[in-house]
Amino acid sequence: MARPKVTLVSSDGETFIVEQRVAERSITIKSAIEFAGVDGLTADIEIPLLIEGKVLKKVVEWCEHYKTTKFPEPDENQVDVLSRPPVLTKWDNKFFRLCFEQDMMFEIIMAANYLNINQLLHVGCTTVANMMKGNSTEQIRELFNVPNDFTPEEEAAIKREDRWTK
Amino acid sequence: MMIANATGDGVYQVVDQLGNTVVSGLKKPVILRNLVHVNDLPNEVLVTIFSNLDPIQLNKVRLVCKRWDFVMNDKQTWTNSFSLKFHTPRIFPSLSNSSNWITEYFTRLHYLKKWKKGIALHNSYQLYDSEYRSDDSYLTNFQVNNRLGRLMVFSKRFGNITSCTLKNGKAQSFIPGGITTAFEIVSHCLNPDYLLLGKMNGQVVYKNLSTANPYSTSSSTKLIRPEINEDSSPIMCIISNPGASAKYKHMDIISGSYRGSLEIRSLQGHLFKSFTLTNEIILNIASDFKKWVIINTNTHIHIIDLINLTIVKSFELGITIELGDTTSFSYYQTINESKNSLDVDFGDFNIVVCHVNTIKTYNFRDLNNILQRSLQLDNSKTIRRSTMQGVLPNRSGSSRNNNIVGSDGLLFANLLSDDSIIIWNIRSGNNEGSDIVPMTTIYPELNHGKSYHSLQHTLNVLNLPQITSISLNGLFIAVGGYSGVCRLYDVYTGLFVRDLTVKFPKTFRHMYEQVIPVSQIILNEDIDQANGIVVSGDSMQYFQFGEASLTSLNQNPKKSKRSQVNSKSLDTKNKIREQEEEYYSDIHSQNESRKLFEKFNGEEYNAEVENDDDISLAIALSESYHDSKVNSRANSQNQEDEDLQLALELSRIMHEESQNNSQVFD
Repeated sequence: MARPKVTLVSSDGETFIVEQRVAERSITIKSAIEFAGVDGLTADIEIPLLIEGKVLKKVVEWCEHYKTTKFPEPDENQVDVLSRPPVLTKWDNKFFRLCFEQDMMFEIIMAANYLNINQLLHVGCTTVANMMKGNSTEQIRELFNVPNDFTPEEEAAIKREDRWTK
Repeated sequence: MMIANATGDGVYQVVDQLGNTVVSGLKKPVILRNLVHVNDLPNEVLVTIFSNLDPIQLNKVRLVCKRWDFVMNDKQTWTNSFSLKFHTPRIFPSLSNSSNWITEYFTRLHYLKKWKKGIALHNSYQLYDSEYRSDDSYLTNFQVNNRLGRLMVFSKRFGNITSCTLKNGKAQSFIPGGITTAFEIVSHCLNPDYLLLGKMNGQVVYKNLSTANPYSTSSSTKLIRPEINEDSSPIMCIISNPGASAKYKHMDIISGSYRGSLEIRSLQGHLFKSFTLTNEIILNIASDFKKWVIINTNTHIHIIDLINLTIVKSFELGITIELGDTTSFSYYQTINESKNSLDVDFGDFNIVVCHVNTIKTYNFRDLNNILQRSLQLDNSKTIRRSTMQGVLPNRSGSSRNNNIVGSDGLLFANLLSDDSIIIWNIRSGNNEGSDIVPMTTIYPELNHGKSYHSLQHTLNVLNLPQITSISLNGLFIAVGGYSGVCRLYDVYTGLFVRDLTVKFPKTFRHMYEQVIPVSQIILNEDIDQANGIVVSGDSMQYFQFGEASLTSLNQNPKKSKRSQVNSKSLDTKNKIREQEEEYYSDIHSQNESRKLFEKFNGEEYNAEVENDDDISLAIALSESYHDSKVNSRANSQNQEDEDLQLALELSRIMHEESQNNSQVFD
């Protein structure tokens, strides 16, 4: 018998049929599957998600690509062990550059957060951080289209707070 | 759907379905679709993003908008950011003791640069008593003597004390034991002004070092605890308040005996309180001399409140302590070697006990609920050395402050029998029964240079360890091997940083001919000073990183030249004075020894007139006389160079001064 498939349904009705292990990259989906059947997946299952089709497509693409990779499990109790930044592969870089060009960067990160795909979330966040690196405050505002909501006085106050950084 | 409205002047705003302005002041038109903006992300995701940034970059990012500034204040952001930059865990010891992460950042960068890249200065010198140092105690003070520091060495084997300047080994003075035969000493405690000896017969002897000198020993000693018939068991350990003064009658001395009698006394010998712990052997005592005394016997730990003078808590150790063969001649000395180690972190109420292959911590913040943590090593490994991190001078004795950067952690290192080192945090996690998780494990490789192969051979034949000593501060761990070889590793990454020592000069021939372990490494607790001392055998090496680069940066060139000249001439004068003193003391000791030689090698020897003190003094002097000859040969080359330099310096100063004068006249 063929392995049961998981069908992911996007908010706008698009469907993605994936292997169970691909779907289970997401802790949210994994617990949904566990909820559906204690004895493991026996029949095909359909999971509706509150994610737009084009974003879900990207997320599925990422999960498919890394379906055989084992990522280190984060352990909340191990406070003494250092948290290391995720290593970005060339494929990751290309993937996220494309996402950014299509204005889907933050949607992917939101989706990763919602679906609880730890590695994707961290890789995404690292990419965003890398984009901020080496830029001035003003450049960052422009890049991410963030309006400056500080009054000049407030801004000066914060600057004064760490004036010795100059 | 969101709609972007142009409000004129090229400024755009985004309005939601109900017509409320969501974002205003945009300079670009927003693409009209269901766009997720960076500020739609939840706070924890923003924290994850910012965690990837450098602290400097964080400082720029916090100015972007109010929300980002708010998120930036989250401790998690900075902890992660630090972790990325410095590889620090969630809890780590702060170097700046500030609650401002940026301050900590710059302090850390500054220290890292100084220790890693700073210009190194090394001074090698030998102690004149030339003893093989195994279980001696060392007392250092880096601050005194115009930053030359002071080193005091108490040799337990001979009962002698040698002291000299820390930086260059000048102005050595020597106080021979004399008061007691060495094997009678079971425990001791060294202080800059006095020495306490706990003896086999239960006596405690106080020796005043400020009045003691090589020429008379009898006047300066005092019996603090006389021999008591009922309890004449050996004094297993003795500690004293480092800040004690003989003028005041305070609780300054705590001693514990083999039969479990614990006594708290003043320096004059006044007994404040004694406790008897029947059927227990007191092995270690620790105290902050303010509130707590922690005693560790072979079965229990007792906590004494020093204010009310009562035992407030007693609990079982949970480890069996093997004490060796009771019939052996040197049984009590063996106990000192085989007993557990006891370290107490009074700032956060942690007791650390290490024995054979067990590490245990007991937290006594709540006396009714002692929290234990432990680490059990494989049976193949044993703990060889245990060291608590040196605390910055301005923080020693103060309690833990959770608000400062890194939650005020405290590191502990254990050297294991397989030549690996584990470093862990005493102050992380107080869950009952949880395991101690090593933060870093280091397998150091020491570079013994040319002699590597022959040394390895000797070590293998004699079954000696590769690593002989360790010492750590909040940033680095120093690892010592043989013949003065010592390296520095980063405590967080476990990576090699730099060689702490240089090769000893060729004149220290024994360093190359014998296998001499590094017996002690002492790092200055003030990390900013970046100095310390490495002891191997009878030779010391002082190191200092990056002092010169700092002083030359400050003033403008002309002024600095002037002040440099002044400080240099002052230094030179000090040097001359020091050498003069040394010369006179040499002459004096030579005269004395000649007299004694004549006395004892001559025609008559009157046993009634002479006493033991004189004999031991004569022996000690003849030894030191002999050694100083050997040393002087070794040092003569250096001495000559130094003299030459001094002369040059002086002539240069004279020349410059005359030039300055002539300028004034012009």
